Amino acid sequence: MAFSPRIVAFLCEGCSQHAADLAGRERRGYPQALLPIRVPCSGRIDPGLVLRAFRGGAEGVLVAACHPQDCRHGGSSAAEARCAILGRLLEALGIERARLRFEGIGASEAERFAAVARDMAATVSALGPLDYARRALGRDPASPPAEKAPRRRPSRSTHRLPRVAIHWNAACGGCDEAILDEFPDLSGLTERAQLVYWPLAIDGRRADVERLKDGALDLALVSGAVRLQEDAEWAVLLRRKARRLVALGACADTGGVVGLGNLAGAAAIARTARSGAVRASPASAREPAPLLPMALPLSELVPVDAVIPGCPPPPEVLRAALERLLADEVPAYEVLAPPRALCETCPRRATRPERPALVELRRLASHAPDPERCFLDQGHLCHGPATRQGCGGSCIAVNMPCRGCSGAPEGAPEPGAAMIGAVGALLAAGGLESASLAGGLADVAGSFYPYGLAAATLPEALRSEGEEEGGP
Amino acid sequence: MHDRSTTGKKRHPPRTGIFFCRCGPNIGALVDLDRLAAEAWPAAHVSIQPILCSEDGKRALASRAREARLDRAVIVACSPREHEATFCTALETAGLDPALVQVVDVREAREWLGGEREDATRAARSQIAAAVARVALHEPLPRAELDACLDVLVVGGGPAGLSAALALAQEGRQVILAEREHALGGAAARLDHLFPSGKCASCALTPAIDAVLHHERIRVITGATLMGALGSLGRFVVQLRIEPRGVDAELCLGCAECSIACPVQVPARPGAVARTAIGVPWPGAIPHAAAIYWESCLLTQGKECDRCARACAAGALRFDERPLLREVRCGAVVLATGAKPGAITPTPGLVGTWDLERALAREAAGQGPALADPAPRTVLLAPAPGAHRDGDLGRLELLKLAGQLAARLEGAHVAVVGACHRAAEAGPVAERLAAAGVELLDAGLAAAPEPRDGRVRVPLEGGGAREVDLLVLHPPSEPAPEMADFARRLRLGLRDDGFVDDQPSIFEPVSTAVAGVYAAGAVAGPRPAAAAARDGAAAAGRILSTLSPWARVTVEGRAAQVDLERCAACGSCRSACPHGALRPGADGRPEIDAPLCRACASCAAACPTGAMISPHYTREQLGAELEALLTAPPALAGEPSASASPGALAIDTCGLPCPHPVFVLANSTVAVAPGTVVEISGDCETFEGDVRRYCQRQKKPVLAVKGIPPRLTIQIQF
Repeated sequence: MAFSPRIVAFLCEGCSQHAADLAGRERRGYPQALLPIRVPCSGRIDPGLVLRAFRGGAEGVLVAACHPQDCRHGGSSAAEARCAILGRLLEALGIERARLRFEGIGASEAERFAAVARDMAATVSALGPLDYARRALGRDPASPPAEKAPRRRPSRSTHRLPRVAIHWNAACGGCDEAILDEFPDLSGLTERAQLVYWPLAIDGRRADVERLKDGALDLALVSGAVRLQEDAEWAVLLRRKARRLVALGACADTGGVVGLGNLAGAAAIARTARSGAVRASPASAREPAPLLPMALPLSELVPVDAVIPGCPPPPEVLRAALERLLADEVPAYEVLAPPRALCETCPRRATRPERPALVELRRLASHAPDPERCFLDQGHLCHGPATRQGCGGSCIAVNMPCRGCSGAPEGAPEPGAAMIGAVGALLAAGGLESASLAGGLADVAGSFYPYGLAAATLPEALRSEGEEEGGP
Repeated sequence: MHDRSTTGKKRHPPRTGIFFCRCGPNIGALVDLDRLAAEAWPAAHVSIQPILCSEDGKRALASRAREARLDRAVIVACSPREHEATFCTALETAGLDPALVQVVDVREAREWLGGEREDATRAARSQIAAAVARVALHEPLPRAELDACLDVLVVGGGPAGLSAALALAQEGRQVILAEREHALGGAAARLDHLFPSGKCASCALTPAIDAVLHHERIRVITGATLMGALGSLGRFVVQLRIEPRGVDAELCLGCAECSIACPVQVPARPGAVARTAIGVPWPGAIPHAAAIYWESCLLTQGKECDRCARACAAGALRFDERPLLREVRCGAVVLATGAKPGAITPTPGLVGTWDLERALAREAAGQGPALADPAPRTVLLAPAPGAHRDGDLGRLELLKLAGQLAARLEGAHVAVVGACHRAAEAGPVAERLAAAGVELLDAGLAAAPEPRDGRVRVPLEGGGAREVDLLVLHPPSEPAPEMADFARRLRLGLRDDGFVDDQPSIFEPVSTAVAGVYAAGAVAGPRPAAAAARDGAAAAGRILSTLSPWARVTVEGRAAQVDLERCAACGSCRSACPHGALRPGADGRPEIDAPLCRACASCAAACPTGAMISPHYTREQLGAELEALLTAPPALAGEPSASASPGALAIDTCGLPCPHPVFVLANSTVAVAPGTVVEISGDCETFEGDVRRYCQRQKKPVLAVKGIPPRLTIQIQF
């Protein structure tokens, strides 16, 4: 059977639904590939929804809106700007631009609607199956990524000191250093816990951990993304041995900067490593350790009981989190940092206008920010509105916009998509040319996903597996 | 992964009913409804109805919903824009909130697209799965009602605005009259005489202005321009920018000493009278008080000057007044902002009608002669090119001026060209003019007039030219420039000529595309003062009948909500809200003005923390819909059911009373190929007779009648 693509078509109530109805009524004829989702205004289509459509198996997404100048809600310009940014993001991930299409279609433009549908179906058919999961993973999504440890119920600890292991996967070591900063001579830690394994501070071998009985560890703190085969093995091993597995820091939480490697792919990374173009010392120019097809957050591989966010976790957050973890006071899945977004506590919030708008997008390289004003109001992409508090705004204090290392606030959508959603609205509020402004943005993936790329763009197939088992 | 904690599970599994509609013969040839109905749906009830929007269908819908104790319904039928309301109303009788119904369009978006039966059926299944997943997360959306605001804002104090304000106030309404100038009367107040009565303009307007200024229910705000408007009928919030007068109108005597003292002479167009930076807006302006023209005042330019204050015996000057923005809440708006009179640069021997009018009015007020000395002996009045856009206004204006000029320039030869006497309502005036010796010509200007030593040579159509001492031209009026911008923002709808479209349909005179906003007078195109006043009264009448004392405003059940616990006060939602429904509240978090919300849900996509909630289109609901849309298994359940094969068509009208079977037959056989055998079944008493009569008329032979009465099947050869 010939390939018939599935195209999710978001239709707005104002215009494109009328046009679609009319196209049907007038028997204009277009392929059955379109799967409609009705929204009151194209301004409702948040970028997370579009990414989810691709991750969920759509081969194309059509955002059919009013012509931006005709949209009674003004949401069409926001949708156009969001699509321009998303198109660039998908392109960076190797997904063809034509698979996401924004079209302004007036209520009476039945033929235009049918023509767009025909054209899109033909284009996407020609591009072939997206097979997003295979592309992203480099393997069949149906086969499980690695051996999954059985889920254990954490039980109350006994009276002895909690047994703790601290491990780093693909990490810079900053998270471990943050712990060390809290306990410079380790005595504060060793009074509270029995350190079983911590390569940074004490001796320890994998064999020692493997010898432990399952569930023998009370707490395992794992930093770093899951990048190497070995990282995956460690994740599974520690999950099996620990009653409570904690993702420590941004890389373990959402993939972190390591996740940006997914833009290049494992093969390219290995090639570069082999070429010796980047190496710390001559000794490191050797065959790299076997890589996973893509960098993953810890929780995608094994269920995680708690997260300590941040790059590295800020001292107050880390201290409070360790306090509670060592006292066994985290009964259910929890992100161990204040729940709300950083914007709330920003010292510059008073300078934020009542109705913020973006009329240009600036880069730090070419524009030094005003040290008093809201970054977003200056056109600098600041992740404060979509990032969890806890850091005390240390970047902002040194005149750097928030980069989003602490991940999403409680109950918030995936932060990169959330920022694209907000920026789309601010660009639309800024007036004309919002789409071209958005389209001209340099390094979309790096700008919107400095820390969350690995977590955000995973195919749904893999994600939902983690979802089933990793719930609180 | 961050969404984990938010997706709450329903306490009870929903009892969803899925109702398929065959839409007579309309759905089924492509979308295999029988096969879809046979799928293993997570539903408490699945049924197929022949025509769900029929009386029988609606009855079945309600009774099945009651019997099966349904608390959710998915209807697989036509576009929701067609019959969603029908189905919701029917299900409401069974106790189902309309928000718990989801309509899946498999007709416009599926059946009528053409293509493969398998593809269409599979896509329809995805749509139904998505609707079932979505409807499970629906919540009832109660609609709230509020008393409508009965107050009316009238923008513009010309004849249209004055008459609207008076009529409304007389009926007991509170009226705010906002006028851009610091005096009332509009363009008409600056005319000399009105057409056709020839009455003195100020004599005609002053009583109305006076009544408005002293009416207990009318508040007049002068210096006010319209900045924007939010809301809808019964609930508007209008922003006005108020330019201060700079003079205490209560104290000002209108003595003009300030104007004499003012050192500024505003550079006027050549020929027009220069203006100072302070003064009474025009001779005889009411309220008769001076106002500062801030744009030309030295103080605005940062210079020191207080000459007017020193000259003022009453001590009325108020330099410290500043422009302010004000919000007015009202239930309806009358736009009566008029048009911009066209301008013609006066040269010796040439004057525009509007300039001449003002000169005549000034002369009447004792402020210098209106006409040059020596008085012209030959006068020609003509519509300027494009003046036909003013409708009859220009032609009537020229006739009126011809009469005035003929009367005062004794012995002069006055001619009116351009068929002005043929304008509607011009008859009696033209007759009087002709009797008074005024020449009335059909020919209009053939080319631009040429100045000749203080005289003007006027080429006329049909050859020939006149050389006259004075040429009076009527330039076409233009829409007020700021109106275009305002109309665009409010989506009022402008006609091609740039004026507001004041008649969206014939039974909606003086209306605009926005319910609750009325257009009266020249804002909708140039017209005489009397016509404008008529419009104003009409607008008042429409408001009194539409915005009645018992009018209620419905608050959208889908109006945005905010979870303040999650909100970080970043303000993105306010940027996304085009309707002003979100205002900064405590700590910069949004406060929702629900009646202003139009439920576009844009704020929800702009909110980076998920604090803005768009009911009925929540993240969870759309996410569930999307997921189910894409996770259908590849193969359809069951065997394909027999579809109507080409060459034969079966129509089932059982349950439909007369005359519906014939209608269905007619509708569904429009495109039937000749030679097709059509089988129609029905069970109405008159079914056989009706179909036979129809076939006789259509000259289609009836092949057979089968079945046991009342249920019959008739075969027809097409």
